[in-house]
Amino acid sequence: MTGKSWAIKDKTFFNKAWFRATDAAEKHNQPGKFTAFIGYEWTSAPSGNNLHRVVIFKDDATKANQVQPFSALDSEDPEDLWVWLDSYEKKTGGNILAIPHNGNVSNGLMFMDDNMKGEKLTPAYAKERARWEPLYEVSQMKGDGEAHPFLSPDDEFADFETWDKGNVQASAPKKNSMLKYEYAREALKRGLLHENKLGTNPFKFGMVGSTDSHTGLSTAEEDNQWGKLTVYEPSNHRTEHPVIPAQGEDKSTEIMGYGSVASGYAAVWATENTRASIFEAMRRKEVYATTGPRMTVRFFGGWDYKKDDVFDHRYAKIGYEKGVPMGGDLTSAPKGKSPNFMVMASKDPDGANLDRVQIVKGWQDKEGKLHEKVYDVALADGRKLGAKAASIGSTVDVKNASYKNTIGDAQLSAVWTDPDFDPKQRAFYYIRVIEIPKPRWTAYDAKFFNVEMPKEAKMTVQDRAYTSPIWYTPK
Amino acid sequence: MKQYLKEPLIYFLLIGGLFFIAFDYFDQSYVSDEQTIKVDRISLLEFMQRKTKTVDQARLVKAYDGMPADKKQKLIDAYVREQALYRESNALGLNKGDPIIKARAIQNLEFITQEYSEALLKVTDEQLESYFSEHKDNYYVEPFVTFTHVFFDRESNGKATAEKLANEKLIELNKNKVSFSEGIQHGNRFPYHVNYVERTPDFVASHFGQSMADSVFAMASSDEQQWQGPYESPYGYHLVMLSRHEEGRYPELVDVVGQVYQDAQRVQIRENLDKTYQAIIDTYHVELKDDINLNIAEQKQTVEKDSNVTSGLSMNQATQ
Repeated sequence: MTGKSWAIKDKTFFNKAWFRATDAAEKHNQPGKFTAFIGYEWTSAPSGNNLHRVVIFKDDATKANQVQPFSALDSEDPEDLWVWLDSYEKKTGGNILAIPHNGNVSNGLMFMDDNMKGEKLTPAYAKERARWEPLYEVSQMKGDGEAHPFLSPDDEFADFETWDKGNVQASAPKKNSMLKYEYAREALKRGLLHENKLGTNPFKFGMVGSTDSHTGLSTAEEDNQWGKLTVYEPSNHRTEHPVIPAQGEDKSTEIMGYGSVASGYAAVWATENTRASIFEAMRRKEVYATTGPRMTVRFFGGWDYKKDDVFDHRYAKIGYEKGVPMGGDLTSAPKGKSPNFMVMASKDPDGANLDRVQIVKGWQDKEGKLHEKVYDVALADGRKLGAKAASIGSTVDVKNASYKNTIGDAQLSAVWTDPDFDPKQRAFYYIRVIEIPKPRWTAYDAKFFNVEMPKEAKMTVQDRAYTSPIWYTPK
Repeated sequence: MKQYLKEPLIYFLLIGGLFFIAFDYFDQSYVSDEQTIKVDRISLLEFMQRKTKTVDQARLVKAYDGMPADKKQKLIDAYVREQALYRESNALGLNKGDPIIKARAIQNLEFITQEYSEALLKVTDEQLESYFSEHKDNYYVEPFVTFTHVFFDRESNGKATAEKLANEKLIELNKNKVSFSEGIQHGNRFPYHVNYVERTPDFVASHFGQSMADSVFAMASSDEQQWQGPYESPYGYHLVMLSRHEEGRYPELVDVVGQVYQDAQRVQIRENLDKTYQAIIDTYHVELKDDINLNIAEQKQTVEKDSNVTSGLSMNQATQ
């Protein structure tokens, strides 16, 4: 070193910001009480098409501070991000993962058949993606990404808080041909197709929700929607301005303030409230998403659940003993048996009752064709399973932004056996729990601020939960 | 010395000094001659550090020193390219008015200022005590209970049966001295938890309703190891065994000193920063133009009026 003291480490702008972020997580992490992860967003959006990933460290700052975050300025290609994630683990002995979000505003990029260089996916790509991206964020303030009515025309609940006007910068309009590369259910199906060819399923992900809010507040419910950014905090005019402004004269890609979604949360089944335990649960996909309510959802898959198992107060113990939890794998079907599933869902203690519990199945048939089917497995208010269930009705009073729990059930559960199982076909099963209708956050705003909402604004909502799938893979 | 350190001007001078050093440090490779790009070991190390994002200095130096000649030449070429294009861009004024560069420069200044603020700051014992006494409510520890319960579902049993089952079970549990952890073997499945550990009134009320929560929080420590109830919730009837009940309390400073110190420090840093930024702002003269409070229609009117005045003037001139 010549002359002057040379301390790049402390002088770079980058580290100052990064150490500040890691320090904040360290200060607020209280093992057993409150877990704060070190993490950052890799904000890749080539040509305005969203490919964001949330990068989460299992480790504390002694490891995380050994590196500087790999940003979208370094590369917009997720494969480069995975190389960096690998280098982090090799260098520090730590653990790290990435959670993609908002495929719905990626204009067909999130779950493409090609990589960013335009080449067909390879076995290596599939392995790396499955390794680094065990979860997908399926719902958040910029739209819900479970299913789309164009892709799932038979699913009456598929059109939920849909954002399908364009990409995340409203710089290019949406085409129907893009949709199958954007939505989680379709990606889970296409994953089976890829697995058949590549040996690994690149889209074998569990599902979480998150706010993506930039306010530091985890307020994703209809009655506490604090907005995505500080400028969208509650006010008598927040719904009038675009959250995603159009780039030019064409306003067809624009999303107005009332289109913001009060969503969502990530739920994790972990044995301890610690970084290590929660991170491991995320890695094994034992997680579920909600679009705002704090519902409790249990989901197990196996071959031998009895009808009464789910009513035992030790049903969770039975669940693990006889099978696998959400995010798990079933294989080698015993001869003549179909997989059966145990599900238990409780309403948010402070929230709305439940309308129904459904199992969504996706599979690939002998000819290689992909299919999906949504089964009602538990219906509130004594409605019978079988034919298409009648609507639960509604108690919503939009004007007063209120509803009553006089319809629906506080708790729904079921043991369900797949009636259409073929042991030679790849399949996945996940749970969707649907609440009774509630006033949407726009109704709460309208009442509180005494303002008129635009005609286009939806005023009621049926919030829901989505669990990670359980996959069946023939040997 | 202490009161000098509180003067915003001192901060300002310190920051100015720091910039001088920083400028000297970062720009030493080319301040001498506009068209000369000086390449030296430090500038290359700094460049490499930025490109590879290596934090470990020893590792970086090792990598640099062990670099074969052809690789080093590539590093030099890349550095020279960056410097040349950067300076040319500056010379053409392309850095002016770019919102990203503007925001980044401001952020950089904020970081430097903040770091100075923090480095100079020590919260004294008196300040700590006075902050604590002014913000006692922030450190209030809510009451909490730890308990387990045996549940009888109203929906599946019917209300009367659920209550009857609960009353019968209460006698059985206490007679057989069924322990806290054995409770799970009795009753029906509850939508939420079996055990509630160190839970506050709001939490308990959200799972069991307000009236049952009140009952549980009214239980005394002498009730421990006894099954109590039945209590009614929106879901049915419950037998409760309490293991711990702590009243709410205001802690002593010594119990929460770490948290209080951080909070007091954060407030002081904020105040110092506000003063520092104000000192910077105060060195500028701010001119407020009249049109800032005009809306677009009023602004148009003013323009039209101005043009009328102008034409009026010219008419006057013409008549003269």
